[in-house]
This record gives sequence, structure tokens and C-alpha cells, in this order.
Amino acid sequence: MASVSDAELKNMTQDERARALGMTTEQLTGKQLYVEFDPDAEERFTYPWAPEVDFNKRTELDCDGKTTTEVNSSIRDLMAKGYGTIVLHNPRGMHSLGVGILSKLNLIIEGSTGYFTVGLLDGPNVRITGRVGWSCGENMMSGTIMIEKNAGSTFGAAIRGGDLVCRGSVGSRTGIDQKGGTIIVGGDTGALSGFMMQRGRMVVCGNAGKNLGDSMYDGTIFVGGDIKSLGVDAVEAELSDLDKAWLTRKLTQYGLMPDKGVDHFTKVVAGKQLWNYDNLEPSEKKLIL
Amino acid sequence: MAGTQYRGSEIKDVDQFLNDSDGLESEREKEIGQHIGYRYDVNLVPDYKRITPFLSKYMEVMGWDDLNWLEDVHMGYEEGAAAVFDRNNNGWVRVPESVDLPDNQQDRDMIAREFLIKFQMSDRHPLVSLRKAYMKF
Amino acid sequence: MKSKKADTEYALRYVISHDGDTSKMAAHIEEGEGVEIMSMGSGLELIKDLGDADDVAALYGLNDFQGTHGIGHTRMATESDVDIRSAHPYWAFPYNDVSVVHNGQITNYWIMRRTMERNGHRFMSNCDSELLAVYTAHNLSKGISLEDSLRQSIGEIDGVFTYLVATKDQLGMAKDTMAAKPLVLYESDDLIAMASEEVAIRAILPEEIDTTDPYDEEVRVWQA
Repeated sequence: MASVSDAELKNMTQDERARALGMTTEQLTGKQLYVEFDPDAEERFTYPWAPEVDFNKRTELDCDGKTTTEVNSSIRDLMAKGYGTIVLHNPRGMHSLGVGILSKLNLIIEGSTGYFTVGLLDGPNVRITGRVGWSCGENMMSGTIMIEKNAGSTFGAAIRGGDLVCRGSVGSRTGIDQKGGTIIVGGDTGALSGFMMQRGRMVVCGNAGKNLGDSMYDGTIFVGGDIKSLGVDAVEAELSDLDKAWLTRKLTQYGLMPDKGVDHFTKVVAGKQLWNYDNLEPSEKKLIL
Repeated sequence: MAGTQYRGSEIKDVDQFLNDSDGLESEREKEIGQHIGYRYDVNLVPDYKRITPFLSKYMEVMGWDDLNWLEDVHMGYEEGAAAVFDRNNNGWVRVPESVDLPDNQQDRDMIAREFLIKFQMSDRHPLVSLRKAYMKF
Repeated sequence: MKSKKADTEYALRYVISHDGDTSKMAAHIEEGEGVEIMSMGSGLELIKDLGDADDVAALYGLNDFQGTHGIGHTRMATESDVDIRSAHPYWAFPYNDVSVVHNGQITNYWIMRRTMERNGHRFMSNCDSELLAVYTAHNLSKGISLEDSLRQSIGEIDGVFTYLVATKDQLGMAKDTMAAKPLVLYESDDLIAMASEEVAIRAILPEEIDTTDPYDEEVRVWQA
């Protein structure tokens, strides 16, 4: 790869930048990429480009009269200045607040938000004192999100990691396409929760709607209340001691441990009678991992 | 236990995929010449008694009470070598042969988690260049 | 018959007193060249136009309206024309005091439309949402309660939908079996507010309130 300075990159188009950095399709086609790397070279816990933030450095931001883009840009600017705790006020149902934050941060949202709240998150700890709309935490990679009230449908759609917690009830299709991580619901969840779930864990302390875990490939769903019906290829499994210990730890951590413990939870897993993985080409299988 | 094994390729031994790099067990796998499913138990939850000092520090720095997303990270095996799947570049990262593998999956998982964090946070990670090339704002 | 102040050159509002058959009267009015009744009601009034919601509201003085309940809609046209006829709320000629707003796609629209047409109903547009208004008006005219009509629709209407119905003295909602279309509900002792998005409710209730998402096959009816 040719050496290119940042100044030179800045003056290039995206296509030129990609080519200058050796990112053409042809060069990425090889099965293996050899990267020299020393695991003990430097102790880092955040991405190399991530701003250094201090949780004890706190600031407030009023969303009133601002667009989503303005608020989200302000969050990035404040992080660049080292603020590690940011409190947002008056969100009033705004969509896409706090999306795409890829480093450590304490984000507190005082109030309720709209669709796609804190989606594409990778690292932050978020607390929302109100309610959230559809697709909260979608595609989350890591971090924690705690919602004090209710959440809309497709809660935690396609999350890959981290803990997404709603103290109240959530809408339908919770954790649709979940690929990892943990979703915890203090109340009830609607129909088709865990639809096409691939891995990860979902915990519903209340009741679950119809077709729970429909077409799930893998992963585990725990339900404390009633299940209206199981979806296609979702089956009940035995709750193991390891499951109980894990449930107890997680629910206690988020203050959602039921008074009667966790023994009453129903565990739902994939029956794996619908699996079609063996029809996939090896490269496609890798994409699913 | 239901939900922790894979149809056609049950994981019976911690070294199963080291000893048999193909990992082909079922008739279907042999027919297509391809291992079906993951090369580790995706539903295995971590044993926190085995956590490493590095991972404890990572949790502290990030402000987490547990391993968070790393609960889903396990030591897997690719072509007979220990490897960890890196979701940030959608591929396996081989663990160097110089690393001694413990005799149980839980300890191996902790090594895999530590190794993955170190690689992802390194400026040698492919995401660094990808970001330079494709970041829009 | 007296005319209220005309807000535009093309939409006129009249207050009419009459005895007898409303449908005959409506048909008689439409005998005039270029005349089309956009809505008719003794308790409800429908306002439809093209343009920004704020502009339409200002043009027709919606802020001065007095009443117990109202429903509104801004439409992103996907499958039928952008014109006043295809705008919500829908009503069903000549049944007064039925209006519907809908979010979704009705997949058995043509089958249901032909069924309704065979029952003598008229459609003013090619928008699938109109079916819900005609369907509801048809049921109400047969003496079926609004709540039963809404429940029945979940089984009889195919597709994805969340819709609201306002009549002279009731407000109702229904959500399809997949719960595929959003609705946020706020309910207090003296106010019901529903919207596809939280942000719409927060625009009128900026203080912290508790809202919920109705589930699949949920039907609710409130009395004005």
C-alpha cells in the first residue's frame, strides 16, 4: 500500500481515498489478510481514533429548537472536548437521537424520544428517563441502554452486542434479527418477538405475545410471564443452573430481579428443524457469524 | 442441553476443531464438504471467576458491570487453528501458535476476548484504514 | 342553506338544514355541474387540501375549531395520486359523520371494494384507505357498533394497517394482526392523544407523560 498523508487524503474523493489506501475489490478478495500486530504494544480500551473522555467531566445540552443533526453533532463536539457525561434535555420525541456513537460515554436523556434512538451504538452507557419510539438501539454493537418507561416496536432490532434494557413494556417484534447481546424487558413484549433471532439472549419479565421466537436460528429467550404462543421452530428448553445464575446476575444488575426469583422463567430456544445453513456457500455463512 | 449444540456437529471435546480441522461429522456435512454452524457454542455464558485482569480493567474503563458485548465472544477454530471471530472486519483472527491454550473453553474464551480487544483497538486494525477511506463525517 | 366563509375558490362549506333522505339530498347537490361533495356531516367536518400541514391548518382556520375530538393525517403518497381526493381523512358517501385516517397497505382492497360496490357504495378515489371508511360506514349503517366493526375489520381486511375512526360521538382505533404499523397512545382522565410518532404528541404535550404502543389486534373505542 502506498503511503499517503492525511493532507493528501483530505483533497481526494471517497473513491480516490479508497484506492489510495488499497481498498479495491480486487485487493480485498483474498481469503486471508496478513496484519502484523503486537498485542502488548500499547494498552488501549477504545478505538484509536476515539476521543479521550472523562466520565467525571459533565455537561448539559438542551434539544429545544435544535434539529437531530445539530444535537448529534454537538454530542460529538463535546466528546472531542473530553466530556464523558452528557445530559440531554427536552428531547420531546425527537428521532435518531445519539446515533452512531462509537466510543465510551455516559449519555443521559431526560425525557422521551422517537424512532431509532441511540442506534448503531458501540460503547456508551445510555440512560433515558422517559419512553422511546420504534427501533431503539437497533444495530447496537456494545454498551448499555436503560429505558425507564416503555419502548415501541422492533426494540433492539438486529443488535449484535451490549445490554438493552427497558423497565416498562415494549411493542412488537422485539429483538427482530437479534445477532447477539442481551435485551431485557421489565414488562410485556408484543407479537413476533425474537423473530429470526440468530444469537444472544432476550429476557422478558412479563408476558410475551403470539409467535414468540418465530423462525429463530439460535439464541435464547427467557420469559417470566405467559407466552401467548410460540412461533415456528421455537421450542421450550430446560432452564439450567448456568441460565439461572446468568439471569440472576443480569436482572439484579439492572434492578429487575423478580421477588420470586428466576426459577419460574420459561426458556425458549431454536428447534433447529428449519435450518438452511447447509445450503449456503462458505462465504455467505461467514457473513452470518 | 437444547440450544447449545449444533445439528450435525455436536461439540463434544474442547479440542474437537483443533484435532479435526474439517470438523465434518454428519452425512450432510460430508456430502457438501463444509462444516455446518459455528465452531464454538454461541450460547455459552461466561464464568466470571475466570476473568483476566486486562478484561476487568476494560470493564472498569468502559463503565460496565460485566463483559457486555464480550459475553458473545468465544474462542473458535479455523482450519485447525485457534481463532476469534472479529465482527469489525467480518473474519477470523488467528491466535498465534505461541499462545498456550488452556484445557477448557471458558479460559480459552477469556483469552479470545482479551486478544480481540487488543486487536480491535490497535491502529493496525483494518477498520482504521477503512474509516480513513470511507468515513463521511 | 347558508354559506360559511369560503377559505378557497375551490372548496366551499355550507350549513344545510333538511328533513328526509340524506342520500337523495346529496345526490341532488351533486347534480350541479362540477360539484362534488368532499364530506358531509352533522357533527363532523372534514378539511382536505394539498400542502404543508401548517399551511392547510391556517388556510381553513383549524385552530378556531371547537369540539371534543379530531383526527388528522399528512400523507406520503405511495400507491395513488397526490390530490385532494386521495387525501385523508376519508369519509363514505353519503354517510355523514364517519371519518377515517389510515397508515398501511390493504392487500385485499379490490376484492373488498367490489364487495362494497355490489352493496351500492361509491368510491371517490383509488386509495386503499378509502375502503376502511366505506367498510366502517357500511357496518355502522347495518347497526353494528363501532367497536365490533373495528374488531371485524381485523379478520376481514388483509394487509398491514393501523387506523383511526372518528364519528360524531366516538373515537376508535384498530391495529392489524401483525402490528406492523406504529401507534403511540397517551391516555389520561381528560385527554386521549394518538399518533404514529411520539414527536407529534410531544408537540402538544411537552411535559413528561407516559405513553404506550397498542399491541397487535388491539381495538379501542372512546366516547366523546
